[in-house]
Amino acid sequence: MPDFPVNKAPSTPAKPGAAGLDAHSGADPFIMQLDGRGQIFVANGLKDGPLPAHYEPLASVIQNQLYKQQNNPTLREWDRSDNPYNGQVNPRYPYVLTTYRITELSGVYTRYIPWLAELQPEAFCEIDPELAVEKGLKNGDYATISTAVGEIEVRALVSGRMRPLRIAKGQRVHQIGLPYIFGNFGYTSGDTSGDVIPLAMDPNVSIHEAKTLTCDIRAGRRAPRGRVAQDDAVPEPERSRDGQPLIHGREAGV
Amino acid sequence: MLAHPPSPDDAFTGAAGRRDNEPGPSYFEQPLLKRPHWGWNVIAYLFLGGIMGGTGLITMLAGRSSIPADRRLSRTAKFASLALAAINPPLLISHLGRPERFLNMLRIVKFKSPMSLGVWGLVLYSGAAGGNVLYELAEMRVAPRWLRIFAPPVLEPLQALLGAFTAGYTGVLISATAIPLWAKGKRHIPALSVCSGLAGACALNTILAIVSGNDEPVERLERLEAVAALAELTLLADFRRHAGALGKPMFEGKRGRRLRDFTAIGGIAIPLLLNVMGAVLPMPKSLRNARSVAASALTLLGGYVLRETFIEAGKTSAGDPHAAFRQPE
Amino acid sequence: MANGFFTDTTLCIGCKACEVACKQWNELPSDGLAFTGMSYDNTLRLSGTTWRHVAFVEDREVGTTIVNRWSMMSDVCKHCTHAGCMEACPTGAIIRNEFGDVYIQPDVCNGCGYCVPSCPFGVVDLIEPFKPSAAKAAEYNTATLDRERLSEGALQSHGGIAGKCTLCYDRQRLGFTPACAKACPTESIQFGNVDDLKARARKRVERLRERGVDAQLYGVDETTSVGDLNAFFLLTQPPEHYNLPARPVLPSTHQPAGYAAAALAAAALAVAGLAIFRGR
Repeated sequence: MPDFPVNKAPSTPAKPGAAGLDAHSGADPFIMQLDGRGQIFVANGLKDGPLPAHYEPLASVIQNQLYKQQNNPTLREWDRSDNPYNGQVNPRYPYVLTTYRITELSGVYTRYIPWLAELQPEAFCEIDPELAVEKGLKNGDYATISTAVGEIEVRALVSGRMRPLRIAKGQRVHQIGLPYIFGNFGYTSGDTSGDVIPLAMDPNVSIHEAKTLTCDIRAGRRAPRGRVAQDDAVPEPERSRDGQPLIHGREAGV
Repeated sequence: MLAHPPSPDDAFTGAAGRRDNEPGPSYFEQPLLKRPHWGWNVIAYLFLGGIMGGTGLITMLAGRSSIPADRRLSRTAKFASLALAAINPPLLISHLGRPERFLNMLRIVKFKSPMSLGVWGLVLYSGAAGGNVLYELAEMRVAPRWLRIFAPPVLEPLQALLGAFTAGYTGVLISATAIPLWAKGKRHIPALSVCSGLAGACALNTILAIVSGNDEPVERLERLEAVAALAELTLLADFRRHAGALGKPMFEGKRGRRLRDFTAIGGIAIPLLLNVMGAVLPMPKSLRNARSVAASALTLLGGYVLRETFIEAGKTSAGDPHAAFRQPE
Repeated sequence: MANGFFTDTTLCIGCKACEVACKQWNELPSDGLAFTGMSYDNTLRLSGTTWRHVAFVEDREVGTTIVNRWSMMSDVCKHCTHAGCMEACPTGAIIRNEFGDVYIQPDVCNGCGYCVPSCPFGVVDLIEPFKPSAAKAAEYNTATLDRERLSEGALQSHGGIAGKCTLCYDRQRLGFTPACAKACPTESIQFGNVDDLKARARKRVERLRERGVDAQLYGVDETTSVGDLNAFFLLTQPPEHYNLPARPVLPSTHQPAGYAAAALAAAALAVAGLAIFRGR
């Protein structure tokens, strides 16, 4: 933390052989360090690092603009039929899906409280007006968000607060905001956002990469699902438009 | 299917329906005011209350006449007003959220509240009507003679005065609110209540007179009804002009047509025509009486529709935030 | 010398803690579930069982769909200096208590509903009568605070009568801060003596204006027939954006003209009547 004696000018030289703060020059303000200099440090034992680098999330809409390596190569992935990934830059899923929490609810315990449930009574997503018009969605309509894992239906909250992003060589990207605090039980319920998020984890502490992915959205409600038993009935992975199986995980290529 | 290429604005229609190109932004076009919870029982009370008040006036007017048939009419009217005074409180009580607490209305007299004054007016009117009826019963030798202390020279004007108040306060009750349509009619609505109440009272008493075999005063009742009805029509037309855009919920659309058909035409114009016919054309008694009853029935229907239109239009007016931004002074 | 609220909308973060705290303290039921699509506001308005309501105003840049400002405002009963509801109440249930606030005595109100159209701000409303249905009650196997399962005492005593913010009369009598002000994490809702709050608010407006924020006080130094509001606001947009009337009118001011008009009509008709029914 930078801090320094008030009366010490930046040009003050270090006193040779001095003790305490006098051993630091006026230009070495990090008094908690022996040499008064700032340090960047990284905990020992990281699987990736030591310095952070920019990687795109496992599913992205653009190529990594900094490196040839699209994603973090040490990312933990599960190549299973019940955990399909969208693919790294897959035009089938052209929109950015970003998840977040909301003030009023935070999971099943809170969904059983009518005072909280009435504040956010249905699962919704937030989309910008241009995307809404493109998809034939009006404010309040049901929309179906789909990824390779599955699809969920949510109400569309069309808002001018959402704006398309302009990134990478003029590419225009729409983002869809999806609060991920609904589920099947409670005074208020809604489709679980986890139904569209595949499992991929940070290599060091296994944090689920659930915050940013890609998706597709269409107007209308999703097809009804039957009752899914706990361990069987894996969701059918989606087929791409030409009937070919969708590319999964690391097979996606750049 | 949109006629023009879809613009992002179109995405905002639907559940929220917020439009920024409407004059004067509001909060998602949500109602600013609360609509009153007044249903058929309040509408019926306003209607019958006006008639009850008008009947009180007729009681006095007919009672002081030199013609015996008129005084017979006055007696009938006294019984009618007591009957109405008995019907009205249950109507009012039935609309309360807590009917068992109706007596709480009598805890205070609040001069700034038309509802408080109205409740007391109803109570006092009932007292006056009761006194008049007791006098009549004493005259008819059905009740003890000492009840003749409720003498007409005192009680008839008293009932007439309280009747005028009862007919008028129902209008003040409506217009002394924040509802823009009603507040705009702060002069028109009370005056309309009086005129409509008296017209309805004349109509009711015409029917009662004919049914009780006393059809002689009918021509005088019809004359008074014509005056009240013409005044009512004039006031209604002037209110339409005065209310302007605020009058849309009442004078336009389905409700406006209903008001025109049942009140303006059916409730005022046609009975007027029938009354004129009765005054000008010679006709046998039975036809004349049938004509009177028909005209009176139409007047009563028109009076009810007038009250109903006011109340329902007021609820619509409460739902328009733009009307409430500039509340009528 | 009244206690009231100063709600500074520039500090509001739209967390709705005030709404929830109010409902919890006053044991009010939920108003039902309905997704409105109107920004983050699914409550929409004050009602007989919602006494604090947070409005979310998305201001668009003219001619575009870009929202460049998102303002939140916690709406509440204004506890007017001249209160339309109080003047309309025929039972005397609505009183001004010793803290200068407008309070509905729930044991006196008989639900006549005349206060409802008499409020120029559309605050007070009737609470639906308590009608439990066995079917609904069986739906939930947990003790929810649903309308049907709510502590019977609370809703049975509230049903059928008018309800609005009490300015936590019961909490004030114990020396506590009202629930909403207590819960507000940014102190957007400030409670105290109204004169002190006004002084604080005026300073705040000055400081905001220095920074270029178009701040105005709503309910202070008003020249309307309603007068100043004991629960007043600092707004950054015209009142209409929050569904507040720019010039509220006290409804009882319409009465003199009304009674005069009625008297005139009655007198005129009486004269006509006297001419028609000639006296002895």
